[in-house]
Amino acid sequence: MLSLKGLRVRYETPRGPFEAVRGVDLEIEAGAFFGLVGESGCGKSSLGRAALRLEPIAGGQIIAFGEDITHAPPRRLRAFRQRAAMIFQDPYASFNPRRTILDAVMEPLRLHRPGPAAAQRDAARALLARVGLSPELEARRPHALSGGQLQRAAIARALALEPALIVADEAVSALDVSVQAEIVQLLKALRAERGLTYLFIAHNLHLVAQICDRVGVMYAGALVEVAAPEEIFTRPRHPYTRALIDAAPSAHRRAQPVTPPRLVDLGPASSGCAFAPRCPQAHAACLRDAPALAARGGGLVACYTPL
Amino acid sequence: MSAPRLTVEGLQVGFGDGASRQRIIDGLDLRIEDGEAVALVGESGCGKSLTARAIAGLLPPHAWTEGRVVLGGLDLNTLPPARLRALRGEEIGFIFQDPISALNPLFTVGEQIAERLRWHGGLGRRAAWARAVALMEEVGIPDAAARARVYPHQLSGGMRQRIVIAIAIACDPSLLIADEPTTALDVTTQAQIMALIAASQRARRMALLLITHDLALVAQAVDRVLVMYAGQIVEALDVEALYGESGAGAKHPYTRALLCASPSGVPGAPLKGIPGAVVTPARYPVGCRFADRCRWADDDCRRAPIPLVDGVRCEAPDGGAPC
Ligand SMILES: Nc1ncnc2c1ncn2[C@@H]1O[C@H](COP(=O)(O)OP(=O)(O)OP(=O)(O)O)[C@@H](O)[C@H]1O
Ligand SMILES: Nc1ncnc2c1ncn2[C@@H]1O[C@H](COP(=O)(O)OP(=O)(O)O)[C@@H](O)[C@H]1O
Ligand code: SF4
Ligand code: SF4
Ligand SMILES: [Mg+2]
Ligand SMILES: [Mg+2]
Repeated sequence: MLSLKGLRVRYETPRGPFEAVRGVDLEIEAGAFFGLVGESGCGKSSLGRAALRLEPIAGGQIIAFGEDITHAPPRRLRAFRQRAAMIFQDPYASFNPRRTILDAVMEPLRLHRPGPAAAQRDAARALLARVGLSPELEARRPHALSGGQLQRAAIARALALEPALIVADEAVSALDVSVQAEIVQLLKALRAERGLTYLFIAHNLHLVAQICDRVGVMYAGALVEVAAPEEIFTRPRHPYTRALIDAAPSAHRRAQPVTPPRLVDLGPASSGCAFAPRCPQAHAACLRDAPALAARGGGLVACYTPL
Repeated sequence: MSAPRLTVEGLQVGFGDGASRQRIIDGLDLRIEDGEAVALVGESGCGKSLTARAIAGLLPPHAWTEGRVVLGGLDLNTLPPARLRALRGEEIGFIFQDPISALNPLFTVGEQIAERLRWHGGLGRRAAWARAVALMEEVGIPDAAARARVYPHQLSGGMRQRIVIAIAIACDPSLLIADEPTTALDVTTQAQIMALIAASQRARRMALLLITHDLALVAQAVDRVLVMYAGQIVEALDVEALYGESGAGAKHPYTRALLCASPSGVPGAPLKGIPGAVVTPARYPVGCRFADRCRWADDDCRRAPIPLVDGVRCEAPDGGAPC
């Protein structure tokens, strides 16, 4: 469905080029609910956007629906983007504040499926009903909806062109847990109904382990572990995954108070394992070359001495 | 036994007057002992921030409030305004949700901490600066002497929130109020900031009121949990009761529903939302305010206000595993 090979994303910044994604290999199978986790700034969003060709690609390949789209010209890209959609963390920022909800959901149809307005309106209404929004909300503007309601509208809009792949970037992170759980149920139901594939980006490891069927852990622009959630959660192989799990707060277990860590200033990027400066088990070899992703158990891990 | 650090009795907060008068917080009681950490938990819109702001005297000007707030034995209603401002400045530290808007973009972070120390702590210029740098070290900022000279936008979100914490604890307050202190941060930073707040609270023996919508954050930080719904406390329980037999100690249907909606990380385990939304203040019903979302609701629940009995505001409290 989606396959990334050695993908690199580079941004030009005033201080020179900065590589946010540093050679990612990733296979997402059709129908998967693939979770991508990692701390802020590790490159999750850059990866998700690059997969849809929304960022400049500095190297590697993107193969989607069996087609290499890495350098696809605008016309082919346009066709591709109808089969792939994106949902963002802040729904208020992704809607035009002056348009009604119904209008916003009709918009992709108007652009890509020319036809009678009445038919488009009916299609948009059906989508709003499907995501659980009552008809009285359709004439409202974004700010008159709650975060959860507006995120449902964002899902309806993403579904308008019947995509096969959805990249959801922190789509539930800003919501109350009660609402988050409902939106997740909706995404799961839609996958079953419409045969969708998800790249679900989140920083809540517990959430991802609970709902996804495959999980990728990212650190400093690279994947460090990819495995089934059972593996990740009960037997993490990468020291960083272990640290993430230990740091993840849970409403279901009493955690011991921990000593607050001091922040450390990281040195400039070195040639070895990017996690070495924070790794409790780093050794000399780790500083020489970066470890590559290699099969381990049922998954993949990038570490010389996996747990 | 000594008097509690904070006692709140019959707190009411609302907006408007005359026909448009609206009561949002409705007769809230709470007490926090010296050195005790208490969480106030509930979905957004249930009134957590208004409660916190009423206690700290930070309500918007068009809000009205009634009830008693007693801090360290002093009834705040009886103090003259100037004395009240000074007392709040010295005795209450406040950590806001959004570190960006809590800091002034035009001053260096060191100046902002020092300013607080000079204003409320009575320190001179140089002493205040030295103390500001020491506070930055205490909240875990590396190379504090140099970083004291940078502006807020030059720091990461996690560092900015550490500065906000340094300002909050600068004058050795006896009560620390943290309103969703980590919502704007990523998960690893969240854990660090929670650990920092919990550690300063213990080291300085402050009373802590931690406000959050996320039950996952209370696990390592507090002793007691107050669950809030639509302007009322609906359950008060020791934090252990939440975890015991996987939440067996929680008796109110709302607390139990919040637990079931919180990710456990167990692959494939169901994640149950709470359908509907918190009832808005204009539509608070006579009876149980959670009734329209409660699967156990019946006519008894809707007839009359439900009192808080043994820490639970429910006609038919339940027990056992919640999900
Ligand atoms: N347009 C851009 N120009 C320059 N640098 C960028 C740009 N977008 C992202 N970056 C940088 O690339 C890195 C990865 O950013 P990205 O947004 O992908 O992180 P993320 O993992 O999604 O983080 P978060 O969890 O905070 O959303 C960061 O260091 C960020 O500052
Ligand atoms: N400045 C204000 N003016 C009018 N209503 C407000 C104001 N601030 C909050 N409210 C209302 O008070 C209720 C509780 O808000 P708040 O205390 O912010 O909730 P929480 O912090 O639990 O999310 C909500 O219904 C909100 O709309
Ligand atoms: S390769 Fe070395 S430094 Fe990197 S995670 Fe493994 S043990 Fe740690
Ligand atoms: S009083 Fe009734 S409606 Fe309210 S929480 Fe209890 S059982 Fe549910
Ligand atoms: Mg991101
Ligand atoms: Mg609030």
